[in-house]
Amino acid sequence: MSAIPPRARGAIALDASACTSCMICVRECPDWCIEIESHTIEVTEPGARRPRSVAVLDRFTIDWGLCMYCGICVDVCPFDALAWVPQHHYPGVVPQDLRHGIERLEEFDVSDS
Amino acid sequence: MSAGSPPGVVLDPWLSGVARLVEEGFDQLDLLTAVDLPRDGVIEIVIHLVRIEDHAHVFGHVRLPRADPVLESVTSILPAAAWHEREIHEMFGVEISGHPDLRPLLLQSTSGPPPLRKDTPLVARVETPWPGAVEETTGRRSRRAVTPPGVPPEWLGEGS
Amino acid sequence: MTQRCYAVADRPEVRVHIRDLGLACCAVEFASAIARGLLIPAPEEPGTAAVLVISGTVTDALVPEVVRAWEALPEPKAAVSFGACSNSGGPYWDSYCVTKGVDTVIPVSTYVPGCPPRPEALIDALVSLVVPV
Ligand code: SF4
Ligand code: SF4
Repeated sequence: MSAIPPRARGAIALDASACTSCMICVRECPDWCIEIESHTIEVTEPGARRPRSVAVLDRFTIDWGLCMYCGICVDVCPFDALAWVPQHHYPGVVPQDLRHGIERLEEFDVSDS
Repeated sequence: MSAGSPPGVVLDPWLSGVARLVEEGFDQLDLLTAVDLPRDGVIEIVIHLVRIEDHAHVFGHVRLPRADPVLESVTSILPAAAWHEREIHEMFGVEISGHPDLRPLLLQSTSGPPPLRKDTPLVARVETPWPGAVEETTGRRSRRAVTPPGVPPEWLGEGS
Repeated sequence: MTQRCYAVADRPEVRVHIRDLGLACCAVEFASAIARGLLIPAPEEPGTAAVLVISGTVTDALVPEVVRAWEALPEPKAAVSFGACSNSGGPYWDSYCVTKGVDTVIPVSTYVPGCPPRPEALIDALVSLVVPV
């Protein structure tokens, strides 16, 4: 029995710290299965003249029940916040189980791939 | 972009055109289908016939007005065309004159607009809120008109 | 549509009577689970739980057949929705003729994500059905 290849497209992991809530993946997803909620805060950095607007990611959901694993979201993300991982074991007892939020998407282990 | 004519011969009138090809030995029906070309205002009917002896094959086509497309049935010379014509009838809303049995072939219900006409709304796309309509800076639903992909404004009707 | 008794290779105690409703390409992954020896044919035993695996695209035209296959299965039974199409319509979510999830017509016990899911994901689902965590 062969092992699962590391490049297998099992799931998509999110690095929330890299995500800028730019919505590109949401708008490009052909299945409309990514949802994002975010808000902006003003950050004043030492030495900066004006405060800077920074997006804060409040919610990031992928609906694996709908996702067709096309990888368009991974490809279009300009900030490499999404990455393929080989993990595949996340069946759901109810369809809602397949809607993964930030926490579960960050749990997918990128070091596996 | 309007599509150019496909390769092959124009068969207009249709029935006698197809009959001529069949007489020339192209009597094996390989394909009979339609293409909706809304920008040209036509439904294009395409037939592909094969002559078994020398493996020759030929495409034939005819353009019908989109508003009132009527196609002569070729079942009298090519009985195998019956299912293809039923499919063209239910999927593209083309009337088939002289067809012996136009019962729906694949569709569960023929009450709606023909599904393979390009202006037939995809109901799910109209009814599902597009997650991309959320404003990236505020996270609120955008008041800008951000139209979801694959949903022409006509599908949303006036007022939206 | 095949109906046979299988045991999970790694967990021989997990033995199920599987009926695969292979409606589209996901069925190839199901076949691969057998071809790769993840599932091995097992002798019939009375009282073995029956599992209906819906692997593929459920079209509205096929719904009556899906319901019939489910109803024909003896108790105890469970249905596994295998892949995006049967979970929700998947890539055909906007189609005029595809059912938006097989759970709209029969009760589903486990939803396996993937387009298609790996054969291993089928095994995981079967194990999770039989061995409650
Ligand atoms: S892989 Fe494709 S379908 Fe899935 S979330 Fe990304 S863009 Fe959407
Ligand atoms: S494209 Fe990348 S950075 Fe932009 S919202 Fe999606 S995951 Fe975040």
